[in-house]
Amino acid sequence: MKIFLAKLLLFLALFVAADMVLGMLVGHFHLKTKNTVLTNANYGFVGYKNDDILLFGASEVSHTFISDMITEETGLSTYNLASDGCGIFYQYALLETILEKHTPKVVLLSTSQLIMKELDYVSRMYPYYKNNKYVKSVVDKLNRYERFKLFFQGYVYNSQIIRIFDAKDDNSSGYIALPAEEQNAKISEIENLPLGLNHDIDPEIKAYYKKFMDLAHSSGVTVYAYFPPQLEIINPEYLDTILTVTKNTEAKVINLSSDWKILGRPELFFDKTHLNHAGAKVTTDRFIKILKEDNIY
Amino acid sequence: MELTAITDNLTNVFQKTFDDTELTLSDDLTAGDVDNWDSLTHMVLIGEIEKEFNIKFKLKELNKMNTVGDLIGMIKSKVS
Amino acid sequence: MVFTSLNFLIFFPAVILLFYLTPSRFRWLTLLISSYFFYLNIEPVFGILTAAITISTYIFTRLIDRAEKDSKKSVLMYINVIIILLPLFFFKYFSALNDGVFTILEAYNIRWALPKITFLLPVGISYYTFMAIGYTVDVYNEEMKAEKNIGIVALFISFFPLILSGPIERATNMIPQFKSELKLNPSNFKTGLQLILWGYFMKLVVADRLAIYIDVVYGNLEYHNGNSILLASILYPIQIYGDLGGYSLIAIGVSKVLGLNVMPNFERPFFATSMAVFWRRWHISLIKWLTDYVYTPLAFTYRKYGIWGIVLALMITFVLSGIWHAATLSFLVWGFLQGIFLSIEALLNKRRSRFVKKYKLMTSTIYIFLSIFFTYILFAVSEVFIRAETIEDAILVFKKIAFERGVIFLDLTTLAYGFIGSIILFMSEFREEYFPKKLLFFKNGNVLVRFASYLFVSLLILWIGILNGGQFIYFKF
Repeated sequence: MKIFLAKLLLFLALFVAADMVLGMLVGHFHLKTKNTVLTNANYGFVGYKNDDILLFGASEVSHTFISDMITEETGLSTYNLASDGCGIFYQYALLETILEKHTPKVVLLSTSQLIMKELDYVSRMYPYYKNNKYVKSVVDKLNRYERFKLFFQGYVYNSQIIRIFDAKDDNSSGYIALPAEEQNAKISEIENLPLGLNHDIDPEIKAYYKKFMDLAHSSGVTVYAYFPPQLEIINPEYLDTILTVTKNTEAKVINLSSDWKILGRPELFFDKTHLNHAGAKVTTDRFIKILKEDNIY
Repeated sequence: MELTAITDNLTNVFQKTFDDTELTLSDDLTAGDVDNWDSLTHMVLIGEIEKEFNIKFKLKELNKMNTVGDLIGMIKSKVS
Repeated sequence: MVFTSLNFLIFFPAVILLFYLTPSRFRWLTLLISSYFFYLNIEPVFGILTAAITISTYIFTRLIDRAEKDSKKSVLMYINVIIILLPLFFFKYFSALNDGVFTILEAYNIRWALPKITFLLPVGISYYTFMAIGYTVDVYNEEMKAEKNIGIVALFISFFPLILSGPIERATNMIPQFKSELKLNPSNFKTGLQLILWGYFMKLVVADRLAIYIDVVYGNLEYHNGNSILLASILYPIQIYGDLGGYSLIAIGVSKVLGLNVMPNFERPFFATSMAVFWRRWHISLIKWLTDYVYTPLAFTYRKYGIWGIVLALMITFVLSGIWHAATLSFLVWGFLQGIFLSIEALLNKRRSRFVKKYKLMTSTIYIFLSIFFTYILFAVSEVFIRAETIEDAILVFKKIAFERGVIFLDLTTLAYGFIGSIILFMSEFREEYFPKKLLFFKNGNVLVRFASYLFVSLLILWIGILNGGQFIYFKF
């Protein structure tokens, strides 16, 4: 029996060692990856180059704001930090990380962050957990057992291997263009837009959203709350809730949710919730005009 | 009824039920040894045996017959 | 506390430690306490239910033993079976019945204020109910004597590795083991841990990964086209196998570590060459139970009808197996389909045998391959009714597969990982099926090969397994 236990312990030691070696290998490639989605996380948490205008959110932001266009028009370096499916806990840790290094002039956060509930995206921060105290703080707060699981590199990089080597390289300063799709044939046939839901807002998410806005503002940053356009009639209660939450922060609101100059043109949309490249140009242009009006540049 | 007569008649029933004219029986033969002898065909076999020997089995007895030898023994006890 | 939770990973070693510290005569007691602890951790209230069934079964089996006349024994058996079935009917089928009554009343515009009560299904109820019934019937059939120690009976019914999802064991197998001097030995540890490792692989790397893709497609049937739905439907049996099969292996492995031998639940089911063979390889413990306690008595009663008696017995048995899973129309249809498939096979059996013998197809690779393929398709078709959850959705699935083409929806990353896991599973079973003693990995004589295999599988689980939650599907049965 003692021999068996010794063998078992030997196996466990080998397992941990192999996991660490794999972790170092994969970690190395993770930081160098050209994968569209992971690039923004790497840039924000590690490679940040002190940009002036930063855009936070999930896919509704990453496919909408053309960073290079803003940089060219305003002369202020812009990066679109948004990452698919990422919610407020990610954004907050990211903001803290950035503010520690540098204070940007402008920060934009999507209001859709208030209704992002699936917590899977937190794993996108795992590779930075070890060396980033803000990530550590948020992750530990969400689940007190994560720190034990994160000892294992396989858990840190779980299911990321294929993604790390899946380089599509269609990311320009964080912006990822969506093509105009054939599906729009369906969208342009819609004459009456459906009524949107009155989404529930998780109190903890609301708290972090406010924290984000307040932290940015108190660091001297001009903050914008971006209410994206969607092919639906915005539910009035939901709109009200969002605007109330934002009113209690110092953020300026960019509300495109009922802007018919965009909603009335289905050819600008990739699907119900995302704009395509044509729509991105229109929206970015709008944003640049707002920045001009607010004397940002 | 004599043991050999039982075995002969039983062999006929087996051969007919499992469609195998060359099938021979031995005391330790079990379902696993014969093609197509499974829980589906087992009942058909039982029914045919009952008809052939004019006997009736009890459900409890089915579990006690694991080999052909058991089967022959059970038939003998019912026929005499 | 499911097997894939962190809690279990702490609970199990704790039990082993306790086991080790207990003198071997009392290890059954340690197991009993651990089992109740395990169960109460999930559903405190229903520990009472398990205890009640234990007490009833204990009393009645002992009465059966003492009774002299067969008629009295039989009455006692039926009473206990009914008592045991009452909670099952109440929790599982009451809501269905209640809904049914509601619907009928509504149709006649009667708004009777019958409260729509929804009950939380006590975990494991279908499993220990069957085990208790089996034990009762076995005592009646004189397969074994009623156990005098109520603690052992309680352990048999509540044994924690089996209580969540089987395998559905027999008292004739488990009780003698529980009463023996249970030992911890390296050989059991090794075999048990191998089974547990492979079980986790099947569940976390294969089943839970495929589930991601299948859930997305089946969760949006109106949106997806026939091609995507076809792919998801073809993959679904693999998901179920990884799920239930993996879970069973963990249960069997855990038992093995504790020195107990539990029956296998799956035996490379997708290599079956007919549905009859399939049902001897899939959810074996359930089918064996149904065969022994439902099919055999029925087929015996109807034997004077020859092959048609068999058909009737089959239909009833499999419809029952469908309803055992859940009291829904979908499962009824599923059970009905299984019965139909098997009946048709039974009816055509002689013809098929003759055909195979005539053309010597037993060794024909093409014939075997086609049989396997066709059997898989039949099973996949029946499983659509389960995954689609309602008859309407199932019909939608078949309609779209038949008529709606389009660009197939693929989540390449998910499918790639799923494919890797499935291929490894398939190759392992292929080897085991056709070359049983060759190319061994876990069972290889060379310790380096074994260690490398364990490492490979463990790392797969850690790196591409779905580690963040995920209840397994057979849980609430």
